[in-house]
Amino acid sequence: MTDKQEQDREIIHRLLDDDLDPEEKKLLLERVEADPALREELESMTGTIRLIETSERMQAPPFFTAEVMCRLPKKKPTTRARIREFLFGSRVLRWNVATVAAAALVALVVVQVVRTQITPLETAAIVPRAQTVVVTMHLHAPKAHSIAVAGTFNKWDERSHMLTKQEDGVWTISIPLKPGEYSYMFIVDGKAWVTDPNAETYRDDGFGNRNAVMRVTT
Amino acid sequence: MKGMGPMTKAVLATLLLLFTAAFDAAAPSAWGGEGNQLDQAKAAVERSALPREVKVGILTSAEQAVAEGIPSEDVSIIIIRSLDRGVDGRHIEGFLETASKTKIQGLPVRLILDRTEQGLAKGVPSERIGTVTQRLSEHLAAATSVVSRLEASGMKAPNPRASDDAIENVARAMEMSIPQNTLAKMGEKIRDRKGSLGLFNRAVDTTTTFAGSGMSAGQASRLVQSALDKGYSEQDLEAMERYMADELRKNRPMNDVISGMDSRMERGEMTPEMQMQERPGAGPMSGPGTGGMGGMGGRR
Repeated sequence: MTDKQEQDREIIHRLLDDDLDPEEKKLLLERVEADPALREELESMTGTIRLIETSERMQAPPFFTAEVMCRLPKKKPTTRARIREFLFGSRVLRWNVATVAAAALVALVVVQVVRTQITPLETAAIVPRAQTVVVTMHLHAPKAHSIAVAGTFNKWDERSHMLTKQEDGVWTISIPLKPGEYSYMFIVDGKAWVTDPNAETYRDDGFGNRNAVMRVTT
Repeated sequence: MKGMGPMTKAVLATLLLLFTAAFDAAAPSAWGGEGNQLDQAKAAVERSALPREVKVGILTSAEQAVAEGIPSEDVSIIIIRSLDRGVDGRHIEGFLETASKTKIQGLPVRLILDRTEQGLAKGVPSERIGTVTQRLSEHLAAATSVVSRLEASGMKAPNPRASDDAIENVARAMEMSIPQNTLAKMGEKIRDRKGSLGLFNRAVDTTTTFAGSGMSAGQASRLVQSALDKGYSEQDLEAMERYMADELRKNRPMNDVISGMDSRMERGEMTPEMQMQERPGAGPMSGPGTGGMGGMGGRR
């Protein structure tokens, strides 16, 4: 393309952009009238503009920009840039109802599992059930009709832990207990509170009597 | 929600409801799982022959206690046991209020609940239970300052419950007329030797056990102090308790028991190992054995 043709195209562009003053516009149109090549150039450009203006606008597909950006050739980033991008780079979350439903289902299952794991801890304290120790308590009282044991392990319930009488007049009971220290007393015939005479040690009960104390270890 | 179809909106709304229901079910509710126990106590109150206003007072105190964080199981036991024993409404309210006030102050309430439940089970007069638990609550407040000072000055707790255990043990020691100052000094001595709150717990408990077995508070604290001076461990202090129980079982006078412990400590014999040698089959952790002749109890 010659310099002259280049200048003509530049003037035509300015005409189409409505940038020419009236004098320049008049001169150009006279030249177009006289120069078939220039006229053809102007008509070609005018036709292109009309075609674009009359064309239907097409909607870009979803994630068009992101996909185009993905396909662009990538410059190999430095390790530092990769770390920064990993930590601070913004991400586009693509979602649909099916994905959300699946995520909700997983969340429900997790919540239920966590719930079943947590609930027993409220009552079972820290020590797992497997770490309980079976403690056998016994009391020699051949003339007794009933014997129970109450203590800190059963909130001093005089009826929940009844001992069983053996043939030799010894009453026994085996209780699974978690490691710890327990105060207790025997209740003979439902009314007499008796301190275990062979306890490991004793502790004042705060009301003028002595509780027996046992220390359970694994 | 703009631009969403009605179907999408419906699905999202359903999911939101499901989430809400799931989290509601998973969250430990203030009433969750405990309602039944409190309901039993409420039913017992309603069935009782107490006047209407007394019933309302008990139920209000019960609700307040649970709201403050007292386990409903304990509230229920106190109410039902009190009604079984014919305790009047004013005292039942008093038991619950003492527990609530203790909890409100941020003090460990387990000892108050245990003492109330124990007193009721043993048929202790309600006035006595009320006095004892109120006094105990005051001791717990004083004990907290002792333990907090030790922790603040660097004494380490071996486990999360050690702090509450220490407060309870100091309170029980004060209940046995062991001076707060003596206990604080005992703690400082242990702290200065880099001992833990666990050792302090055992030392205080041993002192209380001695005092509760007929030793004077002064003698009890002196014995434990000299054991600590000799670097005794928690197990060694437990061995001292067992020694005393064994000696008292043999009907030895307390003064003899004390001098026996002193001389054994001097000779370095007051240890679990020595006791095992002296009591075949009854190691330090195996309990008192199967009971002697004419004995009535024990633990295997």
